[in-house]
Amino acid sequence: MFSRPVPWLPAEGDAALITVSSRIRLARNLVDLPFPGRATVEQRRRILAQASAAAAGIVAAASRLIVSEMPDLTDLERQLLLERRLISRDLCRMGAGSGVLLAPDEHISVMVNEEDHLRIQALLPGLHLRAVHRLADDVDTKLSRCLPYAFNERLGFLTACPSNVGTGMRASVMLHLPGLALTGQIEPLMRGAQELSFTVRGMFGEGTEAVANFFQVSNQATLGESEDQTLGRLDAIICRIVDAERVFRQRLVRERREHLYDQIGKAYGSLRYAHLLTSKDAMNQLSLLLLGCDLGLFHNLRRGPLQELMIRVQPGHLQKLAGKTLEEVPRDVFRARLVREKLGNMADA
Amino acid sequence: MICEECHKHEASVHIQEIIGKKRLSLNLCAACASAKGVDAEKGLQGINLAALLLDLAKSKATVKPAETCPAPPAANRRCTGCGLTEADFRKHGRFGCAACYDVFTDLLTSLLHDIHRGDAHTGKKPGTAAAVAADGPSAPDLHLLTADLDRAVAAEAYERAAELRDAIRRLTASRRKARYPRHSHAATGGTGLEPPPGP
Repeated sequence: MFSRPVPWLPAEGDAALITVSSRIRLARNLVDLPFPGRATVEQRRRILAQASAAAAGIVAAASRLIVSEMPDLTDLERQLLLERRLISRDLCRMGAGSGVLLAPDEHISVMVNEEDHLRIQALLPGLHLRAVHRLADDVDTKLSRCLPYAFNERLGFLTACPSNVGTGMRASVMLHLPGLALTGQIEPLMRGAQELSFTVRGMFGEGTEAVANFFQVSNQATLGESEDQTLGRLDAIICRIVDAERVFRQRLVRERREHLYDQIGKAYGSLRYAHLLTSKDAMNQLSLLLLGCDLGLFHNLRRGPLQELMIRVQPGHLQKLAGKTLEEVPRDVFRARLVREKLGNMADA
Repeated sequence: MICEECHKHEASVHIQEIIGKKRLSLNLCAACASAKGVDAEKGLQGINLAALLLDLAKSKATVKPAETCPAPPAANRRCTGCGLTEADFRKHGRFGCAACYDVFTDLLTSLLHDIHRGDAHTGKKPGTAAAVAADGPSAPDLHLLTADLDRAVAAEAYERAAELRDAIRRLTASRRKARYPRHSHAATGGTGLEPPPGP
């Protein structure tokens, strides 16, 4: 599974240049059992077994559900699942009774006993909020017919944290926003989005750091509006953000062309010839190359392989490719060699 | 400015949180901030935001809860389902089971009002699919138009780019109108950005 291309990245030739992927996460808990934070190991194991049995019954017969309890996964496997956005950082740290159920095509994953008993997730490339919601909703509806959910008529689906109560739905879209980032517009965007009950956070970085100018926009509120209303509002704000990104990219080209082309050119040069490359530098420079592709600056680079490369340079995927655990410096050496080879192949093609 | 928790020492940690349309702020001295789990260097990472918000809502009294709160219950009350205490919830910001929602209703009222867009569930119920409209046929058209726009700008074909821009705006507006026939203004709420004048 880990050697396959990441399914939530837009395919080669797809016109989704700014919106990278759409995700829906539904938080659910089973009735009459403590939430994971107060449950015993035995209760958590029982929930994992029940969830696995229920999920196996609804996955298509042609594909086999992959069930993993966290202690059975190596550190590398956990890292790979994290990099492919199939599990959260919190689940990575959990032990017995916590696990993940995966559909082999990776569009659906169910975390078991993370903060809630079940966290059903669906991921699709591009901006397709309603389609990805249908995927997650279908799994949720079928699971709820086998597993009794904790639900209250007034408050909706009951969750460990009150910030998720109600629909339990976190809808999010991943966007590539170098235009807004390079013109200092991300902070105003964050403030404006928050006024509308949305959060904007950088991906691929620690805390609030935004590496590679990839951002995730997601809803904050889960109570007081329906799933359809939330998706409609999120769709609308994403359209506005995409419009703004295009405008500010045009502004960059119009007003800072030489500086911009110099940044992109230097990024290409560094990636093409560096012998030591940290993950952060690789991501930031690949982001500039993606922008260069979008602006039509490169005749021989294609967006699809560059986006895939951004996953392959992550520590877990890199060590999987190397076939062994690598310390920091050998990892940076291996990363630089991988990038030189991939870009060299594209240049020669 | 004096710390709003101890009222003794100078406040050196200033927290602001925008929840919906409300701006809540809290000013703490280093010791009280540390006691609440705020690391001055790491900021709000790892902080129990739910408990902080609960304190903010109660101390500021600028938020009117939707329902009248009952008389303050006993401080040592405990959930009969999982044994969680009020102190546990304030520390970790998490309930222990479904029954906690009944036991600690008073703690929830202002919190839900500040975080969410209402105090009642209007979404799907277990066992039934959510009522969500399907994607319209314009979604793929929009992607193709925007790709054409990028190519036109890169080629400096600004007249063509302006035509495409106008076509995209018409398509986007018609999609919004179809989804929000009476509330198109609310649906297009500002992003807080000030784009420059067009070419």
